[in-house]
Amino acid sequence: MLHAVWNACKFVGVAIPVSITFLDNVGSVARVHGSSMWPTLNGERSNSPDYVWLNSFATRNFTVERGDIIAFTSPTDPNRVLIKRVVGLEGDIVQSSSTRYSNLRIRQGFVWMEGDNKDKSMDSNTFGPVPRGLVLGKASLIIWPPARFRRLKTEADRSYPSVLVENGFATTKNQPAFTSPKISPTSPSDVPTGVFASDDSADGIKT
Amino acid sequence: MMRLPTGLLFGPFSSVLLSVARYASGSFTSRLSSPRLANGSSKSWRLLKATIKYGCIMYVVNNYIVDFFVCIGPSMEPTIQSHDVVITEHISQRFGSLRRGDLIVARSPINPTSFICKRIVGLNGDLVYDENLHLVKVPRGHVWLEGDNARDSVDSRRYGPIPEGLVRSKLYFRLWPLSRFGRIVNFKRRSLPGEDLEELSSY
Repeated sequence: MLHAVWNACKFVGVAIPVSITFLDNVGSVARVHGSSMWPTLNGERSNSPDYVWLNSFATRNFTVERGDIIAFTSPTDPNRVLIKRVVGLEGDIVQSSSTRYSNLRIRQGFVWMEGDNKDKSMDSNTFGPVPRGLVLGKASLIIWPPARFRRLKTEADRSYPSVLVENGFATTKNQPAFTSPKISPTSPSDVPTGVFASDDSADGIKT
Repeated sequence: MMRLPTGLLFGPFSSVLLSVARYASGSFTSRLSSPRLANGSSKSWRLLKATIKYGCIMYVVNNYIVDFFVCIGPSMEPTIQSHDVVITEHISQRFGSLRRGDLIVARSPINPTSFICKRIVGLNGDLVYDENLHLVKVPRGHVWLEGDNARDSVDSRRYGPIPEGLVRSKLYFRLWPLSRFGRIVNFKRRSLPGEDLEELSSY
């Protein structure tokens, strides 16, 4: 009896680490909430949510391509995971739909993520560029429901209206990015103090 | 900041050591006549299985409980000096109990494959100064990191607040050098602009 309990403990003590290692480094299944990636994910709104295969091995070095659908930890809440499409890469100049970020050059190590359904998406237009260190995996397959089973393509050739210049200022990579996110400001009052500065931050306070 | 490759090296290495120890003690040979071996379980297959097993256990320990780091660079002097070996723990970060003044290891926002070791100076909602002495409010879910050696540190004053999701673990114990062997106390902290330190008796 005791021997059986010990054997069960030994099995669990090995099975749990092996499965965690697999889920972290190879891939896992995730359910998609919300309609921010409609129509690519959760295409039929009334039906059950889509389940996608997140390929963590593809993003093991935190490398992403334009058009990839990526799951990442939310920059505003470390306990939430978001799934969006990579629209801008480092060096690109992007413009958000709101007036908050215009002519923003994406700094080294960051990406610009947007939902396919622009109206219903909380994405980089809300919280700014996302550090690549938050990337968890690349959604490569819809595996459930079976009727929607398909591969998710990297849509690199699609035109993304928020990207103004692709890799525009690659030659001036060493400029201090945090203090100069804005290129050719329209008026001095538009210049934000920082990329992450929220609306109520002390914009003009100087010491 | 360099991570000791314990997950990659320690796992297979310890498993090989364990396998060799078992081989030497005779348990390998005594099982040669067992029915399991007759099913095609060879010595190399069992070695591979042990390697995977202990490698996975080391991975989970390193990524969810404790891991070892060699701190390189002058940014945290004099608290942490270059080439100190420290143990960091993931428990505080996982349960969200990070406080101002904690020494933490985070993924660099500039190069996600490398790590940085800094002190948390500001949490969500705090007002802090950036490198141009502008007041910046730390946004929701972010932390403001600074090195103790302010003149020789690339930190949040340069690249802004970083998301809490990038914070990996909290420094807990110093192993090397032996003259400073012991627990790392996370107490030092500066007052934030417009804040009275005496009010923070709970800290």
